[in-house]
Amino acid sequence: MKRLLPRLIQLRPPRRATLEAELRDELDTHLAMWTDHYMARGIPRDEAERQARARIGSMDVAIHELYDSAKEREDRMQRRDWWTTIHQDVLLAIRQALRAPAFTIAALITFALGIGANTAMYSVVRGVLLRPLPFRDPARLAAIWPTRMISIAELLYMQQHATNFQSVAAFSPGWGVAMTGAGEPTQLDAARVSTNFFDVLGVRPALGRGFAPDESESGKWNVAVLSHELWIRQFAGDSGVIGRIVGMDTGPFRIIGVMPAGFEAFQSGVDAWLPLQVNPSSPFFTGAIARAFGRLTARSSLSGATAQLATVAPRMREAFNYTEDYAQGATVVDLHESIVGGARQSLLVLIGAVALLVVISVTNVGTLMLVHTGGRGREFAIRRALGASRPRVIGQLLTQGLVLAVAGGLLGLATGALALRVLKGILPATLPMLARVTLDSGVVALSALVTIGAGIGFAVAPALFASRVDPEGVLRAGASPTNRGHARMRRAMVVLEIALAVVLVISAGLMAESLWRLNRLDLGFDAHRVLTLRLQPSGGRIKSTDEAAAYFSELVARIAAIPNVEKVGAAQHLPLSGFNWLGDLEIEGHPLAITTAHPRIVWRSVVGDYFGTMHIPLVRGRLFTSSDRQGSEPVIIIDNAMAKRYWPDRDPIGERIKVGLGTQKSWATVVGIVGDVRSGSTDQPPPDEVYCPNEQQGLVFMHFVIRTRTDPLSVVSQVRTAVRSFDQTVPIAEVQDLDALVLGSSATRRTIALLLETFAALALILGTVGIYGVISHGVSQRTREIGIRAALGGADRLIAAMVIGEGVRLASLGCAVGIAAAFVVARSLRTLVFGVSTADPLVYAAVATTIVIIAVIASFLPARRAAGIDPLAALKSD
Amino acid sequence: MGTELPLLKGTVDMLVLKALSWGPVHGFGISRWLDSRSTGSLGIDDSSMYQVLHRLEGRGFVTAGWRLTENKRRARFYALTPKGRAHLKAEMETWLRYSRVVTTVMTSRARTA
Repeated sequence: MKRLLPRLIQLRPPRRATLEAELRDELDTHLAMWTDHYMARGIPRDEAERQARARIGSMDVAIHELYDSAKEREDRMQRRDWWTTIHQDVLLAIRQALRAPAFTIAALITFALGIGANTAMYSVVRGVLLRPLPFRDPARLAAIWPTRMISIAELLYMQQHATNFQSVAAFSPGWGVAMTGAGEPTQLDAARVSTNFFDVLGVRPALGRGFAPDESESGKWNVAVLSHELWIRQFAGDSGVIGRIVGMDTGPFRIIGVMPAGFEAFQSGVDAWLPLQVNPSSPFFTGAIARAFGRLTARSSLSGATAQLATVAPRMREAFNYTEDYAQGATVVDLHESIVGGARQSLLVLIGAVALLVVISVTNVGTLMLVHTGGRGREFAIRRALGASRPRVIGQLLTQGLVLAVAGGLLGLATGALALRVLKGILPATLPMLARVTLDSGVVALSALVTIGAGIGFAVAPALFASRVDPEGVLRAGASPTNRGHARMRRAMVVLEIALAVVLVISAGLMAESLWRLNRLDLGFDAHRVLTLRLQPSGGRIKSTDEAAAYFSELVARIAAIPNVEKVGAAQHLPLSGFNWLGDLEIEGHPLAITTAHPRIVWRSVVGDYFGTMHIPLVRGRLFTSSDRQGSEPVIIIDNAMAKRYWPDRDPIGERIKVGLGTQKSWATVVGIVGDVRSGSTDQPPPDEVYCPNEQQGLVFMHFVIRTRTDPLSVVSQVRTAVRSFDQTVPIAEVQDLDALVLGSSATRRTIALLLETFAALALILGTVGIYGVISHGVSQRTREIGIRAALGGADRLIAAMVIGEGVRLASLGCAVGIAAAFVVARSLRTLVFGVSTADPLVYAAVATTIVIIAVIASFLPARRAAGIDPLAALKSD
Repeated sequence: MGTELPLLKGTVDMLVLKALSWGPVHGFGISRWLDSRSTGSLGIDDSSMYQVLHRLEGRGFVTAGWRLTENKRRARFYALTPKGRAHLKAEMETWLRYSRVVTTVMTSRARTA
């Protein structure tokens, strides 16, 4: 190998002595010819020689002068030779590729698939995980206490006492507001932020200004910063929008700014940012509503800030009278990590799967290449016999590999750009930073690197083989070379390919089984044939609990009157919507000894026939009636699990409990017990949950559930008409069927399963092609041997069985290796699977069986061809 | 030998290429042709001529190889490549046009306009 490179590129310069000797030869001839010339004119020899020498002066000086120009000439010519060689090799490679179109197309498609998948997936990983956040000096931004939402009171406390931060800011998601006065009334997904929010991130509005420090105070907080998307959608990109007054929920708001396009922090799809309202008398003041983050001072670190928070948190606990376990998990982590950390595992699994796919595709092309070059053994032998050096033959094969790889890589890049568009549609919209995922130069660079590596990779095996061809042996034997090492290599590559495919298929199988199990879970409610929508009347329409009760009961009545609508109910948030409101549980007369803290449980404020519509069964007691209203005795319904947990030996009906804000901080009597609902997440057991009548709560927005006799989406226009007949300005938002909402709640898992299944299917196809290629090639190589067998009386059936057996043997070996690898690799899916072990024997066995069946199918055609070989023709063919 | 003329840059290349335009020649042949055509007034010494040949060969305008002369002497023969021939044609056209224009200007009698 040490000698190979210089010979390959022939850059070794000729030795100085050689060049000088040549120059001297030439000049000697020159002198001699001039001498002859002069002598022919009658000049005596002595004089002729003197005149001739005078023409060039001193021989040594001339040689010295000429050496430099001759040396330069040699260098230039070598460089040109080198380029010519490459040029010729590239042309040769292209000609050869065109001469074997089946091989070339198979190789190109295979490689383009691998590179394409890799390009698309890496774009996502790069955009989400690798590129720093698009904020000023993002390395100094840190999430404070990422496991917990904080209250405004805590924010103010930390702004004063957490001195490791230049500033502490907060982001409070999920403030739906109705906007009026700008076209059709619209429901906005707004976020409330501390007034320093944009400054701490270091992002300026593209238009207008951000919040002033005093705009969190009462009377000044009716200002809004719009997202670029809302500005375009609702205000047609009019720059005169600054200063305009629009109606938002509680009253008129002034638009003060528009953020640049693509600005995203903490949550995608935010329409508008409003200031956090600092009002110590508001119930939200001490409610956990916001994510805290800050900009570290130049001298502090994450660990330093964490240490400081550990001392600040207990003081806050005392100041705000929080429970004992309050300070747990008070850490400071990198902001980027806290935003994308949740997506990391999923993305790493997917990029890992893609990496396997790339290796499979490279191996597959390598196998095809080996089969292809194996068939060209005779050609190489002839070339070697005609004097082509080993490096030249290897150089040609390398060029061939690279030409194929570059073509496939370009094709792959195009495929990747296309795949990325599809992928961005498939990935859950909740994936952070998805909007800035693009196929940028970094992605192209990686793809180029993989392409070159692969090109060398799949040229190396055939190159090693071809350079070893013994010309004499091959030519004399008259047959194609049945180089044993070569055949072994081919088989090893197919085994590797199958093993990798097995790993992918098992991973996909585990995810598929998880989904299957999730789909069969009893969620505790029936999502089929239910239409959902959000109604939140514009600011000021509802001023009291009674008005809220009247408003929503009228809406329920009007919607229920629509033909094909069976039942109607509502709750402030629906199960699996991602929002569950929590409250601290207290039970009258029972100081809770279960934990030191008050258990936080889910409370839902409901309207109309919520339980009937959702098919949540009543276990005991009663549901709410029209007599449960403001002023009557506060009532509450609990779920079955809670009844068993807190009253294991008693009937809870008639007991009185408090659930924080859920019972307005007063005692409510338990009147009924209903079934458990998996309201938080499909893969988590049902949380303890209570229901309150909204007639006693007075919440001003509701998500309606409408059970229909037909397709739920078919009644949408009638529902709109019914709502508009009562309230012309309420935005009708988030219209979808409940099935879709439930599906959406497991979107991440579904996406991973879908992608893994796609990759696995590709891997299987490639594996099948690999087995077919090798077996088929084996048969054509052994035509003579098979012919002899047939001549000696081997039955067709036995010959076919022999060929198929070869395929099955390769597949089984690949399976064994793959299953062993999957045992280890599939552990990375631990947090993603549900209800199935990553070593699930059923999945493993199913995959193994599938692979063997595929091997039989892939070997079937070559086997039939082998069985049909005519012994006479086979023996005569040479 | 007449008075030596100063050589313009690049003209020697052209002259040497021209010397090769009738077929492969060795260094002696080129040098003799240049002498006889210019009656020595160009004054290109043989060493410079070889340097020019090296340069032309390096640029791919000329190829060279050892062959026997009619007198059975081993000599290095130089020949034009197609690229060299094209280069010569282009250089010659430029040169002729240039010299014609310069001649016209330099020999004009009076200022017109």
